[in-house]
Amino acid sequence: MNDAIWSQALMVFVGGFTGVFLSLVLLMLSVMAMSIFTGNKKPTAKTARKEDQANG
Amino acid sequence: MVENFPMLNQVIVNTGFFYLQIGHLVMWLVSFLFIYLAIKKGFEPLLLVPIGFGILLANLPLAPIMGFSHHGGEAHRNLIQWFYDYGVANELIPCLIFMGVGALTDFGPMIANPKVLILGAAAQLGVYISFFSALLFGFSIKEAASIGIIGGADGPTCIYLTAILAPHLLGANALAAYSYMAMVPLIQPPIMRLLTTEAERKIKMKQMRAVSKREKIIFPLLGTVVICLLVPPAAPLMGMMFLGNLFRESGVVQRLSHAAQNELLNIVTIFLGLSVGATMNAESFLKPQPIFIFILGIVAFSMSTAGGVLMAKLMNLFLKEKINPLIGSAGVSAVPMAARVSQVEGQKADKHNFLLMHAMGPNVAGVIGTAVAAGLFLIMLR
Repeated sequence: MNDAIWSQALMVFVGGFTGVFLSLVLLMLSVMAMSIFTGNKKPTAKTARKEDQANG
Repeated sequence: MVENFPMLNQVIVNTGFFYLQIGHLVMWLVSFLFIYLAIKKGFEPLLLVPIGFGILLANLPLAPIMGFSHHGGEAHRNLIQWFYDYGVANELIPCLIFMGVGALTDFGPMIANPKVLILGAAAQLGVYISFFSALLFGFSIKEAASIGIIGGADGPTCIYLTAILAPHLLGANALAAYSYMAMVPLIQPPIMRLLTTEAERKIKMKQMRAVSKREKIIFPLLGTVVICLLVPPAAPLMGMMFLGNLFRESGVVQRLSHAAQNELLNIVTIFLGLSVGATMNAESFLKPQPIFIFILGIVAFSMSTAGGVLMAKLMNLFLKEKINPLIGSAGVSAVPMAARVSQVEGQKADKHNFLLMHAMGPNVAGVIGTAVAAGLFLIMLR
């Protein structure tokens, strides 16, 4: 196999695997945000404490 | 005597018996083996029965099954060539199957614990390792991508990508993918046990929160926008899957949901199985290539299983609520068999441990991950 094919294969490997991760991480963040906005997932304890403090 | 009856002579020399070769007989045995495995062992019967029969039909000499017949100087498609050209080669059937899969899938476990999407991504490791391995075996870069996707353990995605990048490998790739999917309960457990400790296998996960109907309705819309914008070539598969899921979760189109899950899915499965089986004639299949593909397929499955398990262990280093690494292996798609394997292995370590619903999260995340991997291959290689 020549160098050009190797470098293309390496690009596909790195780009592809990174792309899969980034796509699913972005979907994960979107799902988390959706759950918070729809009020189905309670904010973390830390956030809740801050909100309590803010509310006096 | 036969020479005195030219019509009889013509009938005799036009029987397939005169053209039978040893390769045809070998393919008959392959066909019978798959039908036997489907009926007797219950290995993916919905697919292996039509695939096995398609192989038999395609290896009957002179039978107008695949390819073209010539009548009056015009070429006419043969029966299964119609199914193949309009269903598989133009990617219609895999997308319709995905609609059915979406209508059958409950994304609730994944919405309740979205961190498992990372396991679905890690379980694509085998796709890329077998992609590289295929290059070393001498396959072209497009062929290597179509072989690599076998590691995603998702039949329709494998067929979708192979039909675009390397259609001549369709039969071997599809057969490897479905054969190994049927063998998930044999392939995965040794790898899962090798990579985990007894204590890790005993980890009990907290019961998942309830997912509201509103979340389940919004998810397919959100998923469509996020995935199809990020990886547009995955849109035909993902769009259809999320549409099927919206049918299911909306609760107002039960007839459509039922049709997508049952009649439509069953009809296209028949066409898909027959078309894939009929691509496997002796001339194209009895070569070293399919053997290499089967070797690379098992490498892909094994590496994907390992990728999911190892990622779960890595995540445990940072998570307060630990996840059982056995659910990582379910990231290889193969819904729901891979999730069941996680459940069985978990119960071997602790019979009071119930991992099935936890494993369904990475399982459906793996379906999305494989479709994204296929879309990225198309972006880079088409």
